[in-house]
Amino acid sequence: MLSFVILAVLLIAGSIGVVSLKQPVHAALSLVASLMTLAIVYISLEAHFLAGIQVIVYAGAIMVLFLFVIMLLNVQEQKENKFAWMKPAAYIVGALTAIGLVANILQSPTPALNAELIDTIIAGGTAEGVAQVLFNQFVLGFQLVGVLLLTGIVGATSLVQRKAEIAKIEEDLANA
Amino acid sequence: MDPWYITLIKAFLVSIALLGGFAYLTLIQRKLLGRMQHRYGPNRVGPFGLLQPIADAIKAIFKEDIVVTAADKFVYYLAPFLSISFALVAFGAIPAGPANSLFGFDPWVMDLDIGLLYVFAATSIGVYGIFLGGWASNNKYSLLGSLRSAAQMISYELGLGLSALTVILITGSLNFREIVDFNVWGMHPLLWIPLIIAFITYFISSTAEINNTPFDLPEAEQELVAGYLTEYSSIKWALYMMAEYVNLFTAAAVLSSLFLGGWRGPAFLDQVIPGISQWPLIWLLLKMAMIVFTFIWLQATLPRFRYDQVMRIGWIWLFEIALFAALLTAALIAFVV
Amino acid sequence: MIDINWVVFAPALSLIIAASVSLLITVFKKNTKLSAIISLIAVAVAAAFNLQLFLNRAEGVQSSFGLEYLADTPALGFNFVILIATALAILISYDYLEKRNLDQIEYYPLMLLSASGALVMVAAGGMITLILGLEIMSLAVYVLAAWKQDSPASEEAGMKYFLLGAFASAFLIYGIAMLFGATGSFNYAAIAASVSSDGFDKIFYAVLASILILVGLGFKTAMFPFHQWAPDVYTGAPMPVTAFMSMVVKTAAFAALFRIAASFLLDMPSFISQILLIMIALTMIVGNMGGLVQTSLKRMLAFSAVAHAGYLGLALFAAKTVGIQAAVWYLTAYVIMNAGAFAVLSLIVDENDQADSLDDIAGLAKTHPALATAFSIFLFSLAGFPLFAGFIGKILVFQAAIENGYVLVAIIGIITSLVAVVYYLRPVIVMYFKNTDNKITIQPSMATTIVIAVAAIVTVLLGILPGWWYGLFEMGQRIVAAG
Repeated sequence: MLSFVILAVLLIAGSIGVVSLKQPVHAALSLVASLMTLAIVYISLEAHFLAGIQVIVYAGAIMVLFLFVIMLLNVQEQKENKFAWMKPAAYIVGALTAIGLVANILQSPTPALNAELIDTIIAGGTAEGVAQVLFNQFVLGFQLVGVLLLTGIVGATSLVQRKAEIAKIEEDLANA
Repeated sequence: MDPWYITLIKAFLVSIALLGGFAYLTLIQRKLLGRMQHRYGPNRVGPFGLLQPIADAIKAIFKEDIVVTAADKFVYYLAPFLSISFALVAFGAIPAGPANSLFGFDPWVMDLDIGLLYVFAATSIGVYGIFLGGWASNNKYSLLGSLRSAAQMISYELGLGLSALTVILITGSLNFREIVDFNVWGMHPLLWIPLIIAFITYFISSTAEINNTPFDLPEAEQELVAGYLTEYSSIKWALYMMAEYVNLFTAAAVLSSLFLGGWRGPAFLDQVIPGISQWPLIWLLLKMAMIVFTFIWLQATLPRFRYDQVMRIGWIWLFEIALFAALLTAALIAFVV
Repeated sequence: MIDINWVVFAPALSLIIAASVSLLITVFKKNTKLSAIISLIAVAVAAAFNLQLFLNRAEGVQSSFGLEYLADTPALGFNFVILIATALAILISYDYLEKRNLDQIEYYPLMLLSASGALVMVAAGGMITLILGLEIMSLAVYVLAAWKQDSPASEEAGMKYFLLGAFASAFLIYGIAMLFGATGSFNYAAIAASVSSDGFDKIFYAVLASILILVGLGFKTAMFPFHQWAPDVYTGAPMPVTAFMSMVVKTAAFAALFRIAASFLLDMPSFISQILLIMIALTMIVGNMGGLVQTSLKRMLAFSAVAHAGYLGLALFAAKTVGIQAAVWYLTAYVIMNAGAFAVLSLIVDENDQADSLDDIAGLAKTHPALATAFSIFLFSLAGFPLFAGFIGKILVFQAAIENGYVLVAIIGIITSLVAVVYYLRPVIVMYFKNTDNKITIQPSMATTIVIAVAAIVTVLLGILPGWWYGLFEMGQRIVAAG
């Protein structure tokens, strides 16, 4: 329980950092930190496989690409905020949602945990347990993710390659 | 399962061993490179130059620690620490012998059911050290070096992961201990084909992952001064160098655990000295030494690739070949074995 | 092991396979015509599988992958609509792309993948399948919207749609996560059972989740207040893509919304229905008012698409009874007349999709009487004149709403559709009665002409003989599969 509280505080601090830090690189790093903390939460719940994937995919690949874009575009601190007028409304909505969620958690009865249930849950955290669920219950979703990735690849290449073609034609015209 | 304080002590010892190994690896590397280039290498400090690493360490610590004025201070300090800590952490999952063989303790720090993923996770976080260091230095050469490096490491992680997938498919486990325990002579002989392909692609990918020649573009002294290291000096520079050599050790250890039988020695030696193939540490260290030697050999032999060649090799050749090997393995397991 | 019934999955699968095959073939030989033909064949095959499933529907709910993929009567009905729309969009695309030198080989595979995503969305029996179908569909359409790379408007459309669409998907995913937290399941049947059970104490999560899901799907259906992207994206995207978007994306998003409404949305506290009610009323008002002030025909059709989303929404309240039947009918009519209208427009506009203002079509009736007649038929039908398909569709949705006690919103619908007549008739008047000297020259093209002819005939036929198509989709309470 203590470890959960520490992790939760870190996680929330990291998330607040993402939205409040002005320098984009710092905000992105804050996101990395909260993703890593989340991975530790997974470990504390015995979901080792998920934790590994979380670090490799999110922190190790996606966030690096984020930072890549930030660094290549040399994104600077944002001085002027066009949507400043939205801020109070966002605070209010966020606070209300948080209050509602907390109230709902406090209201709901704590589910009874028995040793057997805990064992099944822990067994589900291994690579084998994840595979059992992924290739049985969610096999359709697993296949569809493949189709989704195919769509993404085809779409991205078709957009980018054509740009290259156009640039080449323009270059040829300029040289001629 | 050892109690937690034993684990802590083991982690501490492994870190010490890795850092000590780093110090002497620099010496060995310089000596070997010297021999391969027909010169002596360091031989002035102590007998055979053996005290050279200590002299280097003293120099590195007492040098002036220059901090770039325009640097992003927090990230600038954070980056080398990220690099070294995740490099050290990665080694924890590798077993060096059978259970309870090291004075009654297990010769590994952690026995994780996701061992291989753990190593990948730690090394993929290690990218941040290089990446952020280059950015925080506020120097265009550093930034270019670090961007190159990050792109290279992400690209070769594909080849690395897919090659490892072949092993995972064959052994059916992500745990290093189980992978080492797998009886390779009992498997279907056709599986040797993808396994050998995977070994080659894994070797090349890990050469690129640790930025060893011919993939040492991040540093590329001739083009980029020293890449992400340019603005680092003194102990922070030393931390980066440590991380680099520790990564070299980790790569060698993972390579030997995945493909070369890890801590196991050759079984025929058991007829001479019974049980020698089960001795802890020695076999793993021997295999690692062979691989590290090969890496140094490459440094003396090969010129550096051009950046576009690196990318082309990674995405067009290694990735496809490793994917082919993984698919072949899957097909063999599904339809033949 | 989970039960896998490939026949149930066959319509979507045939599109996916055809997309891959056509990509592989065109790697070796760049031939867009071949690609288009493969795509049409794939759609026909998918329709045949769908028909096969439809004929077998009496044997009970056909499902695959557990209850994750359903082929019940509503799903099959929406599948037909999507397949028809895809075929029409492919036909409109062919000449349009060739004339503008935009016929890259990836176009038709992307369209097929998008359509397959739409089919998955329609057939989804659970939230995971729904969101994956939605993403497959959307991702392809984002790319297609930016297809004209030399046109800043098209790039803007793609970018805008992508950013907002990703944002809306995030809302949907948050909603799904919360719903999972509240009910412990992704499956509609299980969620419905959990929500309607007595001891359900996590109503706050469920309500919050429902609102988030409404935001996500409201964006895809272009309902107020999430309609603002629609006019810009519809105008900026290439004409056939706009047609595809306004037909397939809308159908799929509505089908998903219907299934959610029938499963649990309408069982939530009445507060949710009220939000939906206000959204729908404002969608009708904003769509039609927006349409009134447009001079560009393409933009006018964009606002018309928003308004039609509102009318379709009326049927949502009857999702448990006749609503889905009405919606299938309405969408069929809408798809056909909309495809016709966009096909006519794709002939009228110039290279850069400009010259589609009211003045540009003045005197069309003199130079191209057949085209003008067809366009008038589509516009009359969209406006909801009697004897055309659109009229029956509107009657059905108004009836569905009134029968379920939503009289006020139905009256708003009737009033706004009367207002809409003004802007639907304006082009007709300009085509026939405005004197002008400009001579419009249009190069007729085979595929588009087929679309226009077929659409015109079917619009009239459906208007005169509405019963048979409606009767086909008479369903029991099949929407929530017996779990």
